[in-house]
Amino acid sequence: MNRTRYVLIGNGAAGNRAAELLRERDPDGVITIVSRGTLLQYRRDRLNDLFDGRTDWRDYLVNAPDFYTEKGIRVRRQSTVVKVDADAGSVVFANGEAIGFDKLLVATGGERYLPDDLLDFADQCHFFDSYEEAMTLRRALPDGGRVLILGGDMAAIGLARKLREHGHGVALVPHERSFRPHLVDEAAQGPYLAALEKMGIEVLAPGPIDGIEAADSGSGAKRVRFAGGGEATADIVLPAYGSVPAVDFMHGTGVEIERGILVGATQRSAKENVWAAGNACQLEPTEKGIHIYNRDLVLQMGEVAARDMIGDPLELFEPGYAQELALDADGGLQSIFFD
Amino acid sequence: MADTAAQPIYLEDRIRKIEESGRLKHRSKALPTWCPGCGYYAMTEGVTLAVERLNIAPKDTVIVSGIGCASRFPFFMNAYGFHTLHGRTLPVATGVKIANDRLTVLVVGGDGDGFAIGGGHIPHAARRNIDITYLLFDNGIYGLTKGQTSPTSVVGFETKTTPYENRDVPLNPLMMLLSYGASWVGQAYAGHPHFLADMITDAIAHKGFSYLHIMSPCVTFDKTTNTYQNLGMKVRPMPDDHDPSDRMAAMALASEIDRPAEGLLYREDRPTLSDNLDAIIREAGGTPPPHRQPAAAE
Amino acid sequence: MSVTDIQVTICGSAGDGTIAAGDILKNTMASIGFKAIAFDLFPAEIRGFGKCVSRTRISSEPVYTLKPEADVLISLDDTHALAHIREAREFGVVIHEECPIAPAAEGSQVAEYIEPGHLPYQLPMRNMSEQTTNSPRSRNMVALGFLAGLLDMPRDAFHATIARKFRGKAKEVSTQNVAAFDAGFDAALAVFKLDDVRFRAPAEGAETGAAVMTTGNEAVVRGCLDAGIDSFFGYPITPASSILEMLAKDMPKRGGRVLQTEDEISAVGATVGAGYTGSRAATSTSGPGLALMTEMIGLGVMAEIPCVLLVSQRGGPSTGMPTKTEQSDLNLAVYGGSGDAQRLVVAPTNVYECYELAGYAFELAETFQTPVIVLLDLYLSNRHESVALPDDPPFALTAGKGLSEHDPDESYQRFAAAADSISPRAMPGEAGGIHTITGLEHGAEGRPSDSADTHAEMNRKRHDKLRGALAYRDLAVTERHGDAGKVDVGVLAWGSTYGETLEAMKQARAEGIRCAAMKVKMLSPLPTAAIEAFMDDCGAVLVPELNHEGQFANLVMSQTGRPVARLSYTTGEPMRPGDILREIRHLAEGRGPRVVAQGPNAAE
Repeated sequence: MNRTRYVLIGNGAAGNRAAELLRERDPDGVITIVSRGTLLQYRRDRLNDLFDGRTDWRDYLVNAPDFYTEKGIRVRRQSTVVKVDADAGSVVFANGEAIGFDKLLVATGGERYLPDDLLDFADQCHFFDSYEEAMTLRRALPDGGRVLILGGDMAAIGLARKLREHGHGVALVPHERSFRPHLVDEAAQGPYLAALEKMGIEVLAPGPIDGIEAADSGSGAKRVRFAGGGEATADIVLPAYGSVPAVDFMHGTGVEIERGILVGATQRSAKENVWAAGNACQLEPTEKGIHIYNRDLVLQMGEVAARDMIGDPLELFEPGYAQELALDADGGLQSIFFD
Repeated sequence: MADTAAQPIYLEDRIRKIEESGRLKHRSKALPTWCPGCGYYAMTEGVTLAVERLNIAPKDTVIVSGIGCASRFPFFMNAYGFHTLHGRTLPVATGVKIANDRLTVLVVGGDGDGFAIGGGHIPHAARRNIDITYLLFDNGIYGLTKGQTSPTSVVGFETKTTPYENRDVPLNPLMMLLSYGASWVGQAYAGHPHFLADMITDAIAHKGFSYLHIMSPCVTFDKTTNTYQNLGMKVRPMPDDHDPSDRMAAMALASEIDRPAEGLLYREDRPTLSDNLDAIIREAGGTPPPHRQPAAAE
Repeated sequence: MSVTDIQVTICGSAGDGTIAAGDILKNTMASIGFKAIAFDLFPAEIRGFGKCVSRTRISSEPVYTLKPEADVLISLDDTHALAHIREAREFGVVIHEECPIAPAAEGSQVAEYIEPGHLPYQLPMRNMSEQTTNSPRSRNMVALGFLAGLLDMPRDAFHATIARKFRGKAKEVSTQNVAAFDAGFDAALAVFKLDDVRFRAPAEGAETGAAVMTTGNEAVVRGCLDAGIDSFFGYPITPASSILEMLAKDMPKRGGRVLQTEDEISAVGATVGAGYTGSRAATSTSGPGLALMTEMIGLGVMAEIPCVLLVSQRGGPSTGMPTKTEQSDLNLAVYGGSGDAQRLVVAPTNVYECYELAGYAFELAETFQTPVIVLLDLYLSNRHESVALPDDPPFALTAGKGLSEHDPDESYQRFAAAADSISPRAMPGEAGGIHTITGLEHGAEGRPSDSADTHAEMNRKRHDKLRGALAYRDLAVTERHGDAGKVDVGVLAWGSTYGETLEAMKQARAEGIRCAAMKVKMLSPLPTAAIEAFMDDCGAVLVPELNHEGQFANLVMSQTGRPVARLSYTTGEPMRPGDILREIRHLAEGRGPRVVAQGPNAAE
C-alpha cells in the first residue's frame, strides 16, 4: 500500500495545524514536519513573557511531545532545507540528506531583514526571533539596562513595552521599515513615533549606521556610531526591521515567487504538488490588500492547505482585522499586534 | 659334595635388621591390605628405602594417591598423604608443590587412574616439569573394582567389560611421556624389588617431573597375561649402549613392547615449574615469600 | 534542584571507541567526587562491526542501578543507535552525526527517528575529528567533548583522565585525543543550552579522587590481593577470564604464583592441593566450569580443606549465553556435588561487596576448613561503580585453628571432635601433625571408615561447623533497608538484583506503600533467623531473581517453610526496577502472591 508522503517545511502555526489536520483525514500518511530549530512548535509571539520570569521553554510549547507521538507526526529538527525538486518530489538538507514527498507545504514563515549597512556588525547585536535568541538577550541585559532598537518592527515595539514595564531604558532609531509589517511611509511616521515617546521610548534621529562595537567600559555595553555623526550606547543593540518570506530555497522549483510564494485560494502554488501557507506565502490577488497575516489567518491557511492536499478543498475566509497601524483617542498605538 | 644347603633365615634377625635400619619410621602402623603377592608391596618397600636413603623427613613428604588399589598407599606410609579423586592426582600434586616446594611430593596411581580418566592431566604435568615423582603402577587391569579392561590391557584381553575380548589397541605410556616432554622417564618391574627401589630413589632424586613406569601383575584378577612368569620372561635389562639423553633412542626402546627394558630411558635437566614461577616473580619485581625460599641447611 | 542524576548512553560500532568514551566519562566523574554506576555491552562476535553500548549513570547521591531511560544518548553509529533512540527520555538529549558520509538511504539515519520529545544536537563529528586529528577515529572524543561542554562539566578533569588513560602510549595519542575533545567542547560553548539535562558540580567536601571506577572483577582481584592470596589456578571462561588475567599480572609482583591449567578440574584440583598445603589458594570460573568442579568441591568438603572459588554466573544452562547475565547457578553453588556436601556460599550485591566477600573468603575458608564459593554474576563482573576501597584492608591475613592448638601429648587426629566441630589443622611440613586425608568417609584420625556411627557423626560435624559462619567477626550476612517495623511488602533479594530492588523499593515508598528490602549475602548456610524475622514484619514477601526456576525463592521456602511471591525471569539483561515495582504494587493491593516466570512486562 502506498502511503502518501507529506512534508511540511516550517515548524510554526501553519505547518503544525496542517499536520494535525492531515493526520485526522489521512490516518496512514507519512507526515513529516521539517524545522531548522531544535524545539517543538512554541509560541514565539509570547516570548516577551521571559521578562516576567517565565523562562522554561517547555511553558511555550503549543503541544506536548505526546501529541506528535500519538498522531505519528514526525518532527525533524535541526534540518535546514537547501534545495527542493518539485518534479522529483525530494527535499534536500544542508548535510546532503534527502527525503521524498508526494505533497509539500512550505510554511517557513519570515526571516529577519537586515539592511546592508548592518551586515558587518550583526555579531555585536542581539535578536529576539527565537527562544534561544530571546533568552540570550535577556541574560545579557543587566538590571535596569538599556536597549537600543534599530528600526523597530511591531514585535520589537511590543518587546519595548514589556522592557519599560520592567524598568529598562529603551531607545529607538527610526527607519523606513519601522512599524513593519504595517506599511507606514517615513514621512507619515511622526505621530507614531510620538506615540512611542509616550511609552517612554527615546526616539533618536534616523540615519545609516557606521559601526557597532564594544563600548570602552568593558561591561559588555555596545556603542553605535551613526554615519551622520553622533553615537549612542546601550547594553543591547536589537535590529528589528521586520521580516521577509523565508523562501530562497524555493527558487528554481517552478513555483512563482514575488515577495512570498504566490498561492491561490486553496493555498496551492503554481506547482500542483506544492502548497504554501503563513508568512512564506503571498495571497493572490494582492489587490484585496491583505498583506498582514496574523496568527488566526495563518492557522486558517494551514487548514486550507491541508484540506486541499487531501482533496477536500476549502477556501480561505477573509480576515476581518485592520491592516493599518492607527492611533487611539489618547495618541497611543493601535494595532492588530497589540491585543 | 659342596655344602650348598640354604642358610636358615631367622625372623627375629630380619625384624631386628629392619628396625635397626631406621626405615620403619616411614611406615605407618596400618598393615597393607593388598592381595598377597601384589606388586604394591615391592613398591612400598621401594619408596620406604628411597626416602630413607635420600634422608627425607616424613613431615616433608606428601604422598598423593588416586582411586584404585593405589588409594590406600598413603595410609600405609608415615607421611602426609592425600587420597584424592579418580584421575586427579596430578592437579592436586601440582597444587601441593606450588604451595610449598620444599616438600617431596610423590604421586602413586594405576594405569586406569592415570591413562583413562587422568590422561588429560599428564601432558601438562610433564611439560611444565613439575618437580614431583609419578610412580605409575601398570598391571593392565582395574583391580579395585574387581577386574575390568584398562587402557593398557592387551588386545584379546577378556574381562567382565570385554567378555568378547578387548579389541582396542593399548596405549604406550612410555612413548606418551617421552613425547610430552617429561624430563625423567624410567621403567621398572615389581618382580625385581631391589632394582625397583634403586629406580624409585633415582626418580625422587631427579629435580623435575619423574615418571617411573612400574610393571606388575594383578595376582587376583589377571591369571593369564601379566603374570610374574610372563612379565619375568619379557623384561630385559637396559642395553648398555643406550644413551639416556637421546629422546629418539628412548622412544625406540619404548616401542619395543614385547621386550620392555627396565632402567632409565631418558633424562634431561631443565628448569622446573617452581624455578619458572620464581623467575616470573623476580621479573615482575617481586620476592618469593619466606616459606618458599630455600630452607636453611637442615 | 542541586542533585545531579544523569545517565549517558553511547551507542556505536566496534572500533568507534564507544567503550573508551564511556570509560573516560565515568572515570572523570568519579575523580571529581560523583558516584557513578556503569555497564557496557560488547558485541558477541570478536570481529566485525557489532554493536557496543556504554551506559553510565552519574549522580551526586549513591545509586544502585542504571535507570531504564537515558538523559543523553550519543550515537557514534546511527545503524546501531537506531534501536536505542527510545532509550532517551522525554526532553532528553540526542547527539548525533550531522553529515553522513555518503548519500544516506532514507530511514537509516538517527535524525529521522528522534522522537518529538527529544532535544536533538547535530554535530559534524567526522569533520571535526578529521580537522583536529587527520582521522575520523576520534569522533568519540569529539562527541564526548561536546557533551562535556553542553553540560558545563570541568574540562580539566577530562584532560587529566585522558592523559592517565593513554600514559603508556606515545605522547601524540594523548594530545590528539585532547584536541578532538576540545574541538567538541568548544563547539558546545557556541550552542544554546536548553538546560533540561542539568549537571551540578558535587557539593563542597565531596571526597575527590577517593572513589575510583571499579568493576566487580577488579574488586574481586583487589580483595584477593588484600587478603594475601598466595596461589591461583584458573582456566579461561567468560565472564571470569579477567580475574585470572589480572591476578596473573599482579600476583607475581607480590611473590604469588599463578598457573593457567588445562581445564577447570585441574584448576580446582590444584586449588584444593594448595589449600591442603596451607597456601591461600583460589580459582575462578563460571557456571559450566563450576559444574566440572563439583566433584572436587565434594572432596574439599569431605576432607575439610580450605579453598576459594570465585564464580561469575552467566546465562545457562550448559554453554548458555556467555555474554549475558543471569543468576541461575545458585542451585549448583549451594548443592552441586554428590552427597550431603554443604559448603560456604557468599554472594555480593554490589562492586564493593565483591571486594569485601572475596577478601573475607580466604579467612572463612581457613576458619571453617571448607570450600568457599563467592558467587557473583556477569552484570557485577563487568559493571563499574565508583567505590572507595579501604587503605587499611579489614581482612585477617591468617586464620583458623592450626596445629598449635593441638595438645602435643595427645596423638594427633586431623578430624578430632571439638565443641565448635572445627579440628586443629596440621599442614604438610609441620612436625607432629602427620596425617592422611581422603575422600572416603573417615574417623577422627582420618582413616577410612564406613561404620554407621562414624558417618552420622562426621556428617553432623561437617554441617554444624558451618553455622559459625553466620556470625563471623564483623561480616554482615544480611542487611535491611527501607521502612523499619511492619511493612506491607518486603522484598528479599540476592546478588546484583539487589540494586534494582532498592530502586523499586524507593519508588514504592514514594508512592505511599510501606516497603522494606533485605539483601542476603550468605546463601549457605542460609541466615534463616534473620530472614524469618524479616518475613514476620512483612504482609507479603517478594523474591525477584534472574533465573527461571526461582532458585533463591525455593531455597528460602524450603528452609523457612514459608511462602513467597516470585518474580523470576531470564532475559539475559539485569532485572528492571519497574518490573519489581509492579509486583510490589500488586502485593500491596492485597491481591495475593503470584508466580511471574514469563518475561518482563507481563500483563497485570
